[in-house]
Parts: sequence; C-alpha cells; structure tokens
Amino acid sequence: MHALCAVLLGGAAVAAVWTPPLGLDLYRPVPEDNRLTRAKIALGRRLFHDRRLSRDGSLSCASCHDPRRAFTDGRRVAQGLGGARGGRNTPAIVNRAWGASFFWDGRTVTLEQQVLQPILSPKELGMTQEAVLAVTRAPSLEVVAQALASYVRTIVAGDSAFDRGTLSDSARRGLALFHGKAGCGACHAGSLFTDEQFHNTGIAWRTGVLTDEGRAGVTHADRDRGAFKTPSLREVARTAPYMHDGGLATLEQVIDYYDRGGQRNPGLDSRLRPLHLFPAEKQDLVTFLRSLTGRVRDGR
Amino acid sequence: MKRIVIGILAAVLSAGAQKTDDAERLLKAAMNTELVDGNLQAAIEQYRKVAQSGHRGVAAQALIHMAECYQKLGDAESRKIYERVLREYADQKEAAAIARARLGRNGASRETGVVVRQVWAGDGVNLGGRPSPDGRYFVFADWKSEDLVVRDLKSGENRFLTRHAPSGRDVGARFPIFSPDGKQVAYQWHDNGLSLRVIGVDGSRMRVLMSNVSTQFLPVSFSPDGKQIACLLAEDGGTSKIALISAVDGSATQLKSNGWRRPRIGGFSPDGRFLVYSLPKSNPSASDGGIFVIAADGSRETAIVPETANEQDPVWTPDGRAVVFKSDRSGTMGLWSIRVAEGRPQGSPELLKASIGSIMAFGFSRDGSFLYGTSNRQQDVYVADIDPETLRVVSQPSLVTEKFVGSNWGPAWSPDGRSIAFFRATDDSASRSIVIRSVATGEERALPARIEQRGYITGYFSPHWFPDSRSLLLWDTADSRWAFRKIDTETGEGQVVFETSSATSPQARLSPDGKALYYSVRGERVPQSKFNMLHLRKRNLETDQDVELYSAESPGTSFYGLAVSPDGARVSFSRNDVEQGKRTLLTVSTQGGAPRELLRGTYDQATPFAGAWTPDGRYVLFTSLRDDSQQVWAISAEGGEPRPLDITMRGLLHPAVSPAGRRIAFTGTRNKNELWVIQNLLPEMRASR
Repeated sequence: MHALCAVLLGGAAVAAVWTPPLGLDLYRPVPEDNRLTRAKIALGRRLFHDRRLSRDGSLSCASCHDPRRAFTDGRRVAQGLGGARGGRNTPAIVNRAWGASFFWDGRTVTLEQQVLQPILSPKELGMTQEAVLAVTRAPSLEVVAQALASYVRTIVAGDSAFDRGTLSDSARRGLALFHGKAGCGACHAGSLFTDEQFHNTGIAWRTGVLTDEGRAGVTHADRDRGAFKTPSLREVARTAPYMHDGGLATLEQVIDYYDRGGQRNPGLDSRLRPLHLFPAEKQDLVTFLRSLTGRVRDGR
Repeated sequence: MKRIVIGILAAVLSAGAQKTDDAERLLKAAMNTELVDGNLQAAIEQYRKVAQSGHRGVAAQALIHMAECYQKLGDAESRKIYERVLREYADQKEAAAIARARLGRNGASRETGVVVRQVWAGDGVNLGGRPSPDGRYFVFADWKSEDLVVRDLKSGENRFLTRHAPSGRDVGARFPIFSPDGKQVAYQWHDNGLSLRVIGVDGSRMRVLMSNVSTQFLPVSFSPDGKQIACLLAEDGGTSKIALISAVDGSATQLKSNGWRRPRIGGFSPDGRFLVYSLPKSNPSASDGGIFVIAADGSRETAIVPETANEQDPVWTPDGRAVVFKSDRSGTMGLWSIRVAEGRPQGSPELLKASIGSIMAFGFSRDGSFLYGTSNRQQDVYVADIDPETLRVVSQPSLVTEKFVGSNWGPAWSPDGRSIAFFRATDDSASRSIVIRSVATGEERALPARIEQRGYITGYFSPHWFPDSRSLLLWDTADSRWAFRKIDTETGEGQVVFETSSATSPQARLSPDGKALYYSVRGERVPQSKFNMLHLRKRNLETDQDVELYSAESPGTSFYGLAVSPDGARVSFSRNDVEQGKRTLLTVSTQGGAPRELLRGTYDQATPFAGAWTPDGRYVLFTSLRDDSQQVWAISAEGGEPRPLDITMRGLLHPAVSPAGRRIAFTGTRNKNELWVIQNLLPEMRASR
C-alpha cells in the first residue's frame, strides 16, 4: 500500500535523458498525467509478472507476453484461463510507447486504457475490478493502469543489424526489395516498421468468408471490415506465428502470402497485388526481416 | 575555522539559492495567471508580491510583467512602474532596457511601425540557403557550379567558399546554414554519396562530419552553442525523422520519427533547449498536424498550435518567448505568433501581419529583423502558328489567355482540336484548377472540382486527354502510392484507372486509342546506391497487364518528356543521366524491343528535355535546356540532325502540337526570387523603438 501511494504521488522521475537502443527515437511519448517514475515502472513490472492478477492464479500478463519471446507466446492464438483459446494472436508489445492505438483492431488509443482490458476480460485473466484492487491493494484501478502502462513503455527493441548498418549482402538486397518491388515499406514504414494504420490484407477472408470484422468492430465502417493494424516488424523473426490469427507459421509463408497478392475480397487493400518474386528474392526478404532482430530491454 | 567559514558561506549561498528558486516559482505562477488564465488583476497582485521578494533580478522581471498587465488594462500606472524600474533597478540591464524602451527613451528618430524592405532582388537571387545570424550575409549553393557562395547583402558582393573542378558529374553543395557565431557554414556535399561538411566563412578549415551517407539529409539549424546541427533525414522508403548531428564528431541522435509526414524544422530556441517544427496532417480529417515544440533532450514534446488551417515555417523570436509562423487561418496567409514558456504555449496565436503571401520564412536576425524570401514563379501558356510541312514558325508566340496572367501552364490540345486544357493557379495559397478553353470562342471554364482538393500532381507536368476529348488523365499520390485517374471534364468526377508505387512522381501518357498507359516509375533501390531503379512500362488498361519497355539501373537517371507517336507505335522520352552529365532522346516500340537513340547531348549542348510528336508522326519535338533560355527543336523520328524552331523562351516546357499540326502551344516560365526583411514585426520590437 505504501508503495502504491508513492506511485500515486509521484516518486523519483526517470531521468529525462535516456539512451534509446540504436534505431529508436530519443523522444519517447509519455502522457503529461503519467510521467515515468522508477517506482511506477518497478511496480508495473511486478504487476506484469504477478499471477495473482488472474482469477485462478495461473496466469499473468507475462504468460502471453513472454519476455523470452520478444513479449509474445509462440501460440497461434492467445490462451486464457483454463486454456481457453482467444480469437487472435498475441501481439508483440515492444516499442509500444510510440504506438498510436492498441490491440489488433486499435480499440484503445492509450496504453493506460489498454493494459487493464486483458486482466478484466473473462476469456483472458478473468479478474473483476474489485479483485484487482484487493490483490494489488491499490487505491484505484487508475494507479494499476498507470504502473502497467509505464512499464510497457519501457519495453523497447532496437540495436539490430539493420540499425548498426551491418547488413549482409542478402539482407541489403532484401531491404531494397522491401521498399521497392515488394512494397512492404508502404505499410511497414519508418523506424518501427509500422504505419500504425489498419489494412485489409485478406487474411480474415482466407476461407472465402469474413472470419473477423477487425477494425470494423470498432468503427462499424464497411471499409474497415477485415482490416487490422500493421504490426511492427522489430524482432519479427522471434514472434512467429504471424498475422492477427496466427495463421501463418513462418516468415516464408508470410512472404508467399503477399507474393500471391493476398486473398481477394471486397475490401482488399489496393496496394496488394501479385509480386512475382523470385525464390532468391524471397530469401533475401527473409534475411532482411531477420536482420531486424536486435536487443529487447525493459524497465528503463 | 576555515571549515566553519566555508560551512557558513555554504549555508548562506544555499539559503540564497532557495530564496531565488522560490521567487522564480512565484514569478512563473504569476505569468501563468496572466497568460494562461488571463486574470490580469490577480496576476498584478502576484507580481507585486514577487517584486517584494528581495531577489533583485526576479523582482525587476516581475515589475516589467506587472507594468505590462497595467498596459493591457489601459492603466497609466504602467508608466510609473517602468520609471521605478529605471530608478531602482538600473543594474538589471534587460529589465531596464525594456523599461527605457517602453518609456520611449531610445531616441525619437527611429521608426516605430512595421517596415518591409527589399534586400536582394534581380536575376541572380538564390534562395536555396540561409541568412547569417546578424542578417548581413546570405549563404547559398550556386545553381550552375553548385559551389557555396556567401553574398554580402549590404555591398551586393558574392564570394565563393568552395571551388570544385567541373567533372561532368553532379557534384556540389546543398542546403548551407551558418553557425551561430557566423564564422562557419555547414552544408551537404554530394558526390556519389553524401557527406555533411563544415567550412569557415573564409573558405578554410573544411571538415567532414559524416561521409558516405546513403540517407538523404537536410541540415536546418545549429544549436546556439554550435555543438549540434539539427537535420531532417529522409529514410529508405520516404519516411522522415528529425536528428541531431554532433558538430564535433558527426555522431547522430535520432530525435523524432515522423512517418510519411515531412516536418519543416524552424530551429533551436535561443536557449538551445527546444526545437520547433511544423507537421502537416496525416490525412484531411486527422487532427495531428500543427506546430510542435520538442525538447532537444527528447524529454517531451508539446503541440503549441494545433493545425486548424495551414500552419508552417515556425521560427523562434530572438528572445525565445514566442514562435512566429505562417498560417492561413484568417483566410489568407499571414504571420502569426504564439507565446511560449518552457516549451509550452501561453495563450492563443496572435496575428502579426496579414496577407504575407507565399513566403519562405528564414527567421529573425539578432537585431530582431525578420527575413523572408519570395519566389514568384510566373508561367504562361503561349501559342504560335507553324507550317505543318516545314515546321516554320509563321507567327510569333502570343499568350493563349489574358486571364490570370503568370499563373497558367501545361497546355494540352484535345484530340478533336476544339479545346486546350491547362493548369491555373488561382490565388496565392497554391490552389490549382484545370481550365478548359474553347479554341473557337476563347470561352474558358474551370473543372468543377478544384484539383488541389485531391492533390493532383501538376508541377512540371501537363494534363493528358483521353481520346473521347471529354476526359483528362491526372495522377495523385498518398503514402508513395500513385493513382492515375480519368477525370470527367464536365462533372469533375475522377475514376481510378490504375495504381502503382513509385519513389518519385511518375509520368504518364495514354495510347491514342486510350487502351494503354505508358508510365515511368521509380522502383527498387539500386544496390550500393542512393538511387532507385527507373522503369518505363506499358499498362494494358483492359487486361491490367504490365509490359516493361525500358529500364535504367544507372544512378541518378531520370526520364523526361514522355510522348506517344500518333500511330501509337512508339514512345519517345529523354533519358537524363545526371552522373554522366548527358541527356539522350530515345524512342522505343510500344511492342517492346531495343530502344533507338535519336540524339545524345551533354549539359553544355542542346539537350533534349520536354517532348512531343507532330501529328503526322514525322518529327519528335523537344526543348533544349541551355543557359537561361530554352528553344524548341525538331528531329526526324527516323533520326538525323535536329534543327531548331524559331521559338526561344525562358523555362520553355510542355510543347504540344495541335491535332491539325498548324499550331504549337507551350509553357514559358519566369522565376522571380527576392529576399525581404521586416523590421519591427514583433509588438515588443515596435514598443522598444
């Protein structure tokens, strides 16, 4: 309780000047009303790993967002209480401090909004608000959310071969394809390799019918049916399986999928078209994607 | 004993420091009440308490603020307070200077109103640079030699800082900026790769800070201590970020990524703690654009002016208390200011000068003068009669329209010969429209949809007619994707006929039957180079199949003047090889096969640029870029010696022969650059005169 009060009241601020991993911005967006403090980050980290934040004490945030797997779980779809299968793949939560929205469908726009949802979801950790307050002895859920969000903001990934400029010849060719013939960079843009936008790549239509409304579940707009947020490609080689439903097991399968131009459907992103990549080009792309594996760190 | 004295001294100093901190905190609180809450009476009371704090520096500041509050209330008490500052705080130089200024004791002969003065005009004005901190000099990269030049704005003399030998390749300097002490210039040097260099203003002590950089970058501003250079970096794929480069060792710090949006960085605050920049919205319905202040240590960022209209080109005032920026929030482009404290906005933007027009804001010199450039590009569409057999010019070129003179370009004859279409800029806010002019009656009408709403690419291109003489081909872009649209000239409605990706703006022309699109795009990066592959493709619009007609792997190559022969059998274009300094006029069969070289020229000879075919298919017309004027030339489609037509004009572009072959239309361009200074732009400056 004392610790939580300290968190609530502030505590020692994290040094304004931090050293980001190579490739990331020095500026790390933090809300004015939830400045980063060492106490909040430490508490957030503890809560992140605390199994008491699941109804039966079997799971924590880290059960799905495993630090050893670049904060993913390696499963096709997330697994909640009692082995209940979720509908979507666990997203990697590296570099989320720079995120514009969260979840595959972007239904929250701040980390403070996002972090409690899996904890309170009956299919995931299954807690009630009262139970969270009882376990954490926090004065309010806001405190818990602020601490968890603060911790998530410190989970960063960079310093890859790409960032260090030590790409192999194959990876260099892959980079050229990434921004050229393959057109990946149109959506996987910038330092984080995501435009933070929503695109219909046809993944939700692979059986010929729409299996997941995606972004339309939030906006209720036809144009967003089957559209999902572009995931970051940082650490992508460590976060298989891929896509919102975990339906593609390997990077090679992902590239094959896009090489075919995605799955045709009424709202398919107009940027998708058959790429006619040669096998060697596909391999170069995979090599480049693997070069985005660097160092993941948290707590600072 | 010594230890005791030191201890007492430390305690006294500590207490003094505490007292100062408290006074400064109270002063900030009072400023907050004044500027944020707008409660002047309450602020006066707070300032009065601060003035009693015993810390002379802070007290003097508080009195100045208090007097300003009284001034805003129209109370003559302000005069008494300024007099008190002079009487009791004459040792506080800044406060005393302000008080003296407000009391009008700076000399009556100085001008007190806003004064706008031209400081550089004429043919040689080059705005591709920056003024020195004292406003006396302007450094730029010479257009022809691409060497660095410093111009003395007072004497009008130009002095070269670099002199590199002509190599026939594209080598030289770009984007120079002065150091804060005015003794050095930082600039980009391009020669195969890119480097960031610093050179003394006497041309000595050139240093390379970064070399073999593959990323395009633009130096923007030195930090006030001269140790860092803020740069705009363009990443692979076209996204951008703000970076700080050490002026000591060239090490880079990535400060902020901006995705597809390109920021306009206004530079460091005078205390070096912040950078200001503007950012456009990510899409028309978004609310993420505006003017931003970011801490140079990356600790925070604040939107100081959310984008309500077009907010651009922010610069700091010399005292760092405000940011001045361009905005058309009042309906026309004007200069506005927003007060800023600790990187945060204080109050609302205030209009400084209305209807400033389309300017390039260079910022303030040390004496408070605001420097800006104007680049007035005047373009007109001309038409001349020619003999279709001999191509002899039988009437001298005349303006095709007397309306919006200086704002028309890119003529295109409709296939039925009844109309001529061209672009028109309709006001100073860079809006565009398409005009369809009747050849018979001269009647003009603009397309229903003003084209800037879609952002169609208009700059160096001309529209292109579909064979129905009712629709035009235009293209626009979003996120490096390009959409070619068929625009109905009656309704203005657009229909996408094809989309593609390209690193730069493509060119496109239709086949005479409208069933195929010939287009050039930049594709994947050439390995080990900063350039992208260039492709010329034929798109079958009925089958959506692409055929590659020609491609270039050479670095720095571009295509110009795409034109299709009247029988649809060949495409002509100019290949520009920057690195080799040559341009080549080529034709290639629309069925594929080896290209045919019609003409090869170097930069110092007649070199093919814009292109067109005569309606009988016998000749390919091109314009030559030579010195300050361009001339229309004709060369047989089968090859041979080119011959000039008697049409010469500055910036001659877009030659187009009418379907009957009896008239030729084209664009003539005049660039008029000027450098201006505004004195007393800021209310404080006016008050201090």
